[in-house]
Amino acid sequence: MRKLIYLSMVVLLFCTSCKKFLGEKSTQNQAIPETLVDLQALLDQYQVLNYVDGNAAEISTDDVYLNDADLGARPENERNMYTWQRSNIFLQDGNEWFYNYRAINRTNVVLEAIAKIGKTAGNAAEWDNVSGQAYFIRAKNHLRGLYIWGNAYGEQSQSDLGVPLRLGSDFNVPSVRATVAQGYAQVVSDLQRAVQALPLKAVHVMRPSKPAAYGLLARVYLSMRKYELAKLYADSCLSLKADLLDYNSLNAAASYPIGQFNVEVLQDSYFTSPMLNNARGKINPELYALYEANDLRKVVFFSDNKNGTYGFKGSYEGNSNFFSGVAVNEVLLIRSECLARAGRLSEALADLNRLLRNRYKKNTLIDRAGSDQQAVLADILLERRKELLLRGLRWVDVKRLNMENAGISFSKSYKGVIYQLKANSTGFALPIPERVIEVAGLPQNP
Amino acid sequence: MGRIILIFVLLLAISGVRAQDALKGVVVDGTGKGIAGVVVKAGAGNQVLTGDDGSFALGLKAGRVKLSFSAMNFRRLDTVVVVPFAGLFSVVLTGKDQELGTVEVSTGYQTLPKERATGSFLKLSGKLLNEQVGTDIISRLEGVTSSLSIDRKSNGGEGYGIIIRGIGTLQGPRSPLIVLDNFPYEGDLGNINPNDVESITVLRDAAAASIWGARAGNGVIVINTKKARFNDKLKVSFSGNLKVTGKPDQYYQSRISVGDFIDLENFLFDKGYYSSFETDNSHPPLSEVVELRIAARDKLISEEDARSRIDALRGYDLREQLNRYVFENATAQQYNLQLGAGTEKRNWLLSAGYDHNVSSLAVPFSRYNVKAEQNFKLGTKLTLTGNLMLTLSNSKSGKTDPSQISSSTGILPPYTQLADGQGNALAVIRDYRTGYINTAGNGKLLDWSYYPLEDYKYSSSVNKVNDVLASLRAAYQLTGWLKLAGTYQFEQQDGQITTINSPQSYYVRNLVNVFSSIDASGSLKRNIPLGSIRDQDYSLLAAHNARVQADINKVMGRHSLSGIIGGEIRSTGVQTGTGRIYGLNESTLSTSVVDYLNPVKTFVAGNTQNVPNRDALGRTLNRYVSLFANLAYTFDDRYTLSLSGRRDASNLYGLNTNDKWNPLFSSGFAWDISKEKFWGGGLLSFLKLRTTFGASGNTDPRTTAVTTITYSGFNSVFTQSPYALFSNYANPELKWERVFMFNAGLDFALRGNRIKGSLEYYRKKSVDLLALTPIDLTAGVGATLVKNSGVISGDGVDLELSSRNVTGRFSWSSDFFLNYYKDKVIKNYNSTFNGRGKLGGNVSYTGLVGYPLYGMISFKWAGLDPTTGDPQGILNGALSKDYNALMGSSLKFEDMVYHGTALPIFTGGLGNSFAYGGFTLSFRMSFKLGYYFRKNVLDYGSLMIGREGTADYANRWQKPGDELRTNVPSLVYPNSDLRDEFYWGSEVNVLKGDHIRMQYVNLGYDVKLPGRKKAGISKFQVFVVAGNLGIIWRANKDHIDPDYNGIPDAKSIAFGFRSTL
Repeated sequence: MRKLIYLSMVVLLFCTSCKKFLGEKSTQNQAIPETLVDLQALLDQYQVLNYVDGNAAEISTDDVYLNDADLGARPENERNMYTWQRSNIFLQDGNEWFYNYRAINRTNVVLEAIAKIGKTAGNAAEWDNVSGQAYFIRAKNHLRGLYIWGNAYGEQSQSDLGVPLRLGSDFNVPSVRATVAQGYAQVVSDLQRAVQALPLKAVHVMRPSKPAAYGLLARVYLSMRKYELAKLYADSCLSLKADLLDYNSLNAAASYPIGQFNVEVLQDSYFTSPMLNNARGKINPELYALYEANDLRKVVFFSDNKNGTYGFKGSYEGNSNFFSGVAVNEVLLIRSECLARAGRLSEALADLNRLLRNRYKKNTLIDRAGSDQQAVLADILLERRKELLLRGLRWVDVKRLNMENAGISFSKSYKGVIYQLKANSTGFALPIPERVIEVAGLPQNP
Repeated sequence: MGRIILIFVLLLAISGVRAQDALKGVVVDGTGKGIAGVVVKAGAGNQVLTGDDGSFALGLKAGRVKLSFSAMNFRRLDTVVVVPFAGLFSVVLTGKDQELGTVEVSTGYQTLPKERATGSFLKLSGKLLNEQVGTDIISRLEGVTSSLSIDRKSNGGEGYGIIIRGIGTLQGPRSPLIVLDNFPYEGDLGNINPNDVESITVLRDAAAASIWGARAGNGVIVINTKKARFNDKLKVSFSGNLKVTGKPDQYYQSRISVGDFIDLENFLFDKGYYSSFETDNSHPPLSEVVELRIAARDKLISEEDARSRIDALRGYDLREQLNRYVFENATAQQYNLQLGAGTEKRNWLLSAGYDHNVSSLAVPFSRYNVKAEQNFKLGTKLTLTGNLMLTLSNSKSGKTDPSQISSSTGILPPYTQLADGQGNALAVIRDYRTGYINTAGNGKLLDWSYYPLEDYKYSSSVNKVNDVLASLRAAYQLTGWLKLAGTYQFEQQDGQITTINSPQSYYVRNLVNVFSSIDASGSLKRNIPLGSIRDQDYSLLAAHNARVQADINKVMGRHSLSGIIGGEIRSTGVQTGTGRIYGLNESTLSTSVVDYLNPVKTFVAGNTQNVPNRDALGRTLNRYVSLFANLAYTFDDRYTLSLSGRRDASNLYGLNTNDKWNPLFSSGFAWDISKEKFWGGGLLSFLKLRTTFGASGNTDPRTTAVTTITYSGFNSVFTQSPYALFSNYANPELKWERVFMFNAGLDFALRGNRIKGSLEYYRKKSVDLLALTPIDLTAGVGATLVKNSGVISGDGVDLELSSRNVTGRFSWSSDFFLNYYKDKVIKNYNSTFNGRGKLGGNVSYTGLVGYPLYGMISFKWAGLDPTTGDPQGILNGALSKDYNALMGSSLKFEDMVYHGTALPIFTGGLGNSFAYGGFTLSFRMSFKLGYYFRKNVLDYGSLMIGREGTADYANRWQKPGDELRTNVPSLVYPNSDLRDEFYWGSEVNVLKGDHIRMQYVNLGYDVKLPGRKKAGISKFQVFVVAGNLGIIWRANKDHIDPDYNGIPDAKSIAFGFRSTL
């Protein structure tokens, strides 16, 4: 009997230490995201946050074309997107709709977790930084979705359907397409929080910073045609960082003359496109013809295929990937345009000339001047097109400018057929991937 | 948890009934092996059952006592003992039928006679398993084990996907738990020496999970190794065998012919398909045909020259080259020596095994096994057992299979030459265009050519695995009916893979070149130093198991109670690490450093990249605490009622404590009808009915209740900070998957045991089945997610029969099993979506209510368009070529074809053994019936992008009228991926999978050497085994083996001997 009592005691002892025994982590490198370090680590996974911006916006313009042979060798969905078809233009699963919302989900996890951590005097700087980054990334991805699947911002935006706004991490919550107006309002509100929270300078431009958030806000307001606000935020951005890269310092003969993370970059991200890069993509001759002989961009941006066609080598990524982050040159052009629209022509021209002096061969630039508002504005818009090509911006610029009655249409040909996307047509809101329509039951764009 | 402990303690306390003066003894069979479950009776009301090792203790009054010993299949023995009796009372029982002795099954926790069991156990004897030879034991189970099938398809052909009695879970592990000598085996199953295996028991029903916990939801395979015996004279046995396996049949898989492929390349060239490859600055490799066409176009060679050189290529065939220069016959040698002896107080067993294999790609593998076991009896109550198993194995890399080489433009073209006419190795295309690698860097770079027949000599990797398994067990007979045992087992397995790529290897040359730069002045800078690159990966597994258990064996009159109750803790830790050294000089062992931090411009594409870094560490630790009890009450040897339960707790991440404890239970009932008075004898000498019912819960170990992240092993090269990815997304709606299983079995034997067998019916029901379910991409967590998706149920019947058809000098015996299993979806919580999603096949859960879990569903086929050769389907009852719609949400299920299930409904095996004189001949067949599979289909997209296509290309539609003789769509350019996909999924590509396979033939002979007895050899047997004999009948006419995705295992032949001294 006594033996049994001893034995029972041993068993009991063994069981009380169970809790500790089972409290040990099962996988050392796993964690429940609950510290600022964990959350920052989630926001530093550049592969899903910085490397997968979508290419639909760029394939859907006509800045780059492919010859029939090269286009024929591309997958069916790319050919469909290129010719503005209304179905089967995205991959089933790994498409940019998913990539946008994957990034958004991540920011929602971060924002929900950080609310539980609580801000203290000790962690305030880091706490703000992490939450600011999350708001910035959420805004940027919702914004890209609005540009692609929503109509341009305008009076009808109160009723036009935009994209679903995912503001929580629970994936059981059904998706509903919010209106375009709600979408832009959310983006603006997220970016305003980001502006307040982000530091003046990030550890690296792979992370957003206060000037990057100001720059993105300027981009948002520009696409909403709220030019005064766009100018205001461009100002705020440029007052913090306004460095320009002098193209005279570049080796134009290099395969990719412009370096990654150069001084103009405020926040870095990119998209890839085997279709558009210089293996296949040829620059629209009309666009190429716009560059003057002394314009260094003519040789820095374009590679000569020695057959009368040109490819693109001017990405701020320093390789065949396409920069789609926020950079000083974009913000400078936003301010210049907004100033011109406000009639402040000399200030507008000052910004423009400052940019161009860094783009033209030394001492060859004849400063742009003029007193006709429309002429100055047209000049600025032309320089905008020449400066910011292949960044995914042309698409939304055309949508916006067509709201200003610019009447810009796109046109491409394939196998002798001319395909067109007419100004202000419904085709400027791309069809949502079929898989999303099927599973989530969202209404499709017409 | 506290309550459980209390019950446990109480149960232990109850057992403290005062013990009488006990008679201790042991009951053994003719070979000295203890017999478990013998009823030892000393008059009415005083009886016990013997334990695992045949030992018993019985409280008796002093004086002469009559004792009776009875056990199933043994002759009853009556004897008298004078009490008190000094020492151990030893009794030998002789079998009623020596050949068909009592069958004991082992659950890993206890050994019990099969006739007492209520659960579904299947026992495989060592003799049966030894009819095959091979390095590992698990591969011998297929075709000989009822209810067990091996899935070679969904596991990518790697390892064995063992399935017992159909699939009950989609997300949890599907393989059964493997238990080696009472503990789950954590190491590599390939470590186990098959010659050490005594028997294998398969646990098939709910009793399995209720004994072994959630990990056993898919059944348990209990492997018992050979044991030392008390009172046994020295026995020595030695065996050896050599197995030769043929080369893999390169011509088995349907491949586009060389001529057709060249014609296609010409066609694509004329369409300009390759022009963008020429301008691509990553310089993707182009085939010889395309290069010749480019050279002719650029007027570097004449059109005529190009044509004749292309025509010359039509004479080559890569498959022939593979057969001649790469593959060879595989060999496997195996030797084993075993010694064992025992006295009354002590016994021991020692065995040593050696294996040496060379694969068809010349991969050498060696394994050394040593096993030692000792048992001591200290006094009459305490037995100590020590066990040690050592395994050392190592293998080196062999040749490269060139058919597996793939680049950005696909696999090697079918006319690739690996060697010239004299057998000298030739270079083939690898990562870049031939013209590019010949001129890049103006001779400053390292040679960039790749020779598949030579390169493996410069890149070698060595894989070493050392495994130690040690256990200690102490068993103490506390009272006559209560035994306490404690066991501790420790396992450590360390594995190390060392790969050295020497500077001559393509790997090093390529990496060094890619990270080289040549500046304007022409000077070369290497960012990766020239020298060997050495990679080292290690993994260290350490597993601790400790178990305390009380065995109860109490007989009171006609009532007997037996059972176990106990607890165990387990901890398994794995540490892993990978690392790399650049610029190693193997002769001086000097190394170089590289800059991992700063990205450098790569030579080929000119983009920036970091030098690849492999320094990473990992650690996992799994811990479990379990309590278990298993009790059986038998009345009058006729009725048995069993109850078993178990609770597990683990440190699975993120589980709430309540969820950590997972309760499982089962109950059973058995009725030995043939022991009833009314049983008049008749034809059946034995008839027993048994049933069990149990429930278990499954949770996908990857799905936890909280969101978890995994830190990448590397810091971000930009921010120099750690970064993390999601490993699990919290799903607050997730519930446990519950699996209920009912089993009813009938065991029977004909008079004289001419025919014995069992018939079982079972029903499985999984509620809240966890399945990968399509999810809204907008949620941002993926295209599919594990969700509770529905209810499935399945019904099965297992029939096992063994017969002795002819006895005497010539004997013939057979055994046969037939398994039936069919499941269907009862409920689906999620709406199914598009037509594509319903396709299923071997891989995905279709979720269609009323149809099997893995249904084979396809698109209706409306033939080829007579004018274009386009595939046509049916949409809303009308002919359609709108492939996007045909595969999308608008397609109705009525417009699709349901063929049947993708998993066999009937599987079975038949073995026959003949013996005459010293000769034995056994052969075994197996079959799978009633299922469908989708064949490999010509896909124009993969043909263009990846150079991969089937011989169906020759049968494609080419002109009107062809639609009458073929279903292969026409070639269109540009290609449509959706058209390819529709054709792939259409009904014409679904075939019946039914087939019969010859597993093996074994011929043995007992050699009667003159003077054999004098030399002390008691037995010397030689044998020859032919294995993987292939399919002898199949329903499909395309000569496809439906069990394999790729090339089926080649036929093998083995010769060997077994001798006993």
